[in-house]
Amino acid sequence: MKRVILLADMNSFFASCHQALQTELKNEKVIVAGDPKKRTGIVLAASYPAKDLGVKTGMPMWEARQLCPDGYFFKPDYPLYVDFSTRILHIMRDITDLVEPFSIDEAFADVTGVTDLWGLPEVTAKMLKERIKNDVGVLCSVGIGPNKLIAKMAAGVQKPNGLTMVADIEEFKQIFWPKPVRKLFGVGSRYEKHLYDCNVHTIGDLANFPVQYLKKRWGKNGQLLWHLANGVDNSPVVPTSLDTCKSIGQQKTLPRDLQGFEKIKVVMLELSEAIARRVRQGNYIGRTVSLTLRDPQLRFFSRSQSMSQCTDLADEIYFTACGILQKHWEEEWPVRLVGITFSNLIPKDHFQYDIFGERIRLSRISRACDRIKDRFGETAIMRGVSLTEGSINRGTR
Amino acid sequence: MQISLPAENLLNALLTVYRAVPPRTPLPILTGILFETKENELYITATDLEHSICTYVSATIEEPGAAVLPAREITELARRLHDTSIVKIQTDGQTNTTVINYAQSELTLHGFSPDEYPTMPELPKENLINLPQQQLRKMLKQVLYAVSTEEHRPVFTGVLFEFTNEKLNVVATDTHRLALRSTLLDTQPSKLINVIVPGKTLNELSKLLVKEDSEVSIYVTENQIFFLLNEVQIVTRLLAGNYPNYNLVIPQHTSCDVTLDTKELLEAVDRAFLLSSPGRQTVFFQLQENTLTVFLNAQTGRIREDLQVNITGDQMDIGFNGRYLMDALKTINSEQLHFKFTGPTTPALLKPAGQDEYISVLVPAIPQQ
Repeated sequence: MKRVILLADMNSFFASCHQALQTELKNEKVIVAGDPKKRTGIVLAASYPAKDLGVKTGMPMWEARQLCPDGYFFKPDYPLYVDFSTRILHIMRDITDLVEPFSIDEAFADVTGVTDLWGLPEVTAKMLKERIKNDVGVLCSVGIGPNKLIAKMAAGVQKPNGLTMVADIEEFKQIFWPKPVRKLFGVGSRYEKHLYDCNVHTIGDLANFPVQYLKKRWGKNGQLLWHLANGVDNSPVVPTSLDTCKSIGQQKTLPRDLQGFEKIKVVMLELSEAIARRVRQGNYIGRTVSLTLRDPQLRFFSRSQSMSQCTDLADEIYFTACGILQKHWEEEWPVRLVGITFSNLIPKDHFQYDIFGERIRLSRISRACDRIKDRFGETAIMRGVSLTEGSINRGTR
Repeated sequence: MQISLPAENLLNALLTVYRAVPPRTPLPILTGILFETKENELYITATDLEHSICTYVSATIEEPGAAVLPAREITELARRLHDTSIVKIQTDGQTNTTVINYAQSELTLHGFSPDEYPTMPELPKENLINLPQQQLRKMLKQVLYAVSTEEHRPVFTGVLFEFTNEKLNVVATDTHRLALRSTLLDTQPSKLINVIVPGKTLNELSKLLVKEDSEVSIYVTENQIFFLLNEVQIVTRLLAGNYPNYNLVIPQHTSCDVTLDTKELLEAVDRAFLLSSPGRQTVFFQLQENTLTVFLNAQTGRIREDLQVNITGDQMDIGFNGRYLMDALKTINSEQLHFKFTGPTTPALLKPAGQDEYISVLVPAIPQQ
């Protein structure tokens, strides 16, 4: 049976949430960015009127202010977005139980088996859009396709408030093959550059490129890209894909460039602390630490290292990250962004303690701090480094 | 420099020192191997600045001198030559170019200036102690598995050598397990000292400790240790820092002692470990009456093996990282072993039956509510 997959992609989601709460801001220039009071950070979302003036996601706040001085600036309010996202998922689950959240503002729904109940896919999609608009107050673009990839690509065709149906692979080829290869899901700036070097400019070029070569160059990923370019994607819609956590990470764009290991390490320790707390809250332990750094030229660097033992302790995550830093970074290279991701997570059903009692001691301290934070808030107890210059938590108390 | 020697001798010497050539280095000269003539011998040295290996072979020296040749190329060439062929090595000291003649052929290699090669530390006058090679090899084998690979606590990447009047103790731990091997010394060491030697170098050393009935001579300076075995000399820097007092963590009183067949347990754990997955490597024991049950429940299935053993003391359930347990069991060189438990959440001790010179301490994996 031919599958029918929907992808609902909320338009300017963060900005729309604020607009939904303050209806007078509808059609206004709403920008969600860093901390408007501190005038730092980057643009996370902008409403369409603001986008028309040139405000883009990822732009530094000062630039957005120059372009749009009379805009309404909001500090990100994640609990609000999670709440909106959950309400949208509930609406989608009214249609089918096969709903897979893909990110905070996107979700897939497999409606193959419910067409008898709701009618043609376009009708179902229209109904979904209406309900999201009326019940939650945000607009979305819906893509319909025979698989997840095509649904996702179709949703991007018409924004905002679009509805695009791509019936089959033939139609996919007609619409997407002439488009630049960068528009293909999974192709970022790096792949784009390498593919340009191979004279691959459009999605069609990639689809007709010898797959053996792609496989040799990028292994499994090369083959996957080729399949995607050909509109082939057999992955199912898995409602439980987000039930177990694969990794927990956190990153921070710094208010100014940091130079020197000591200063960078302060931020790394605070990030490790925050990550370890989330790992413990989920009752996980993990093994692999990835450190991401970005220099002032915005070039990314990322390396990971696995530990011999699973852990949920901030100190161990931190020391592993420090090892990566010292091995791959130079003391004098400035840093704009620091990120740490902790992966290879498994449920914590066993814990390996050590001979000298260090892990027991650290576990007890972490547990005590967790309890204090649970009761009195995240800033109730902090590490001493948070009082030093360069701390990302400084002044939060 | 102009010398000639049989290809086989050259290859053996190169393979010995090649272990010290760093795979990646910011200093290009370290990718080379130093050749030096001294009297009738050719000395060959390689170093990664942390440890160096030097050896000598007899050669016909027509013109004394020195050269630094690219390590990979010269070693791989020697590997590809017939054992019996004679290799003639001729270096032009001005251009650092070396011509290697073998049979009717020749190869030219562009090397480095020997003056720029790091100088090797000088061997101290008085040696610390001599040990039979085989004895040191066995000792190292029993502790090296417990050395840590994590660099953030450098002392644990090394092995503690503790010289006392009548005993040498070698200790390694990665903080999850600890191995301690002692041996009685026939002669007193010239100094009573404790040093921490990098595990990486000891791994290389143990591969070179092959000769029966031959001794290794150990020399120690303030920050280096030298091992002299026949024609090979290995020098490494010592690890700075204090090794924690390991005696405090070796259980003194046990609540349950089990005596069992080493091989039987190792095989049972090995089979149970088949069901483990990365991050979930705990193998469980249930101690009841005279049965030790090894079991593991995993997503892929479950396994249970009953071993008939001798148990005295409390019954208990306990779990260990299967990899750690197997590493320890493999170093027990007696048929029977004593497994001594102190409790389900406290360290346990492994010991070969009838021997007091070796113990291995393992911390159990503790179930979380």
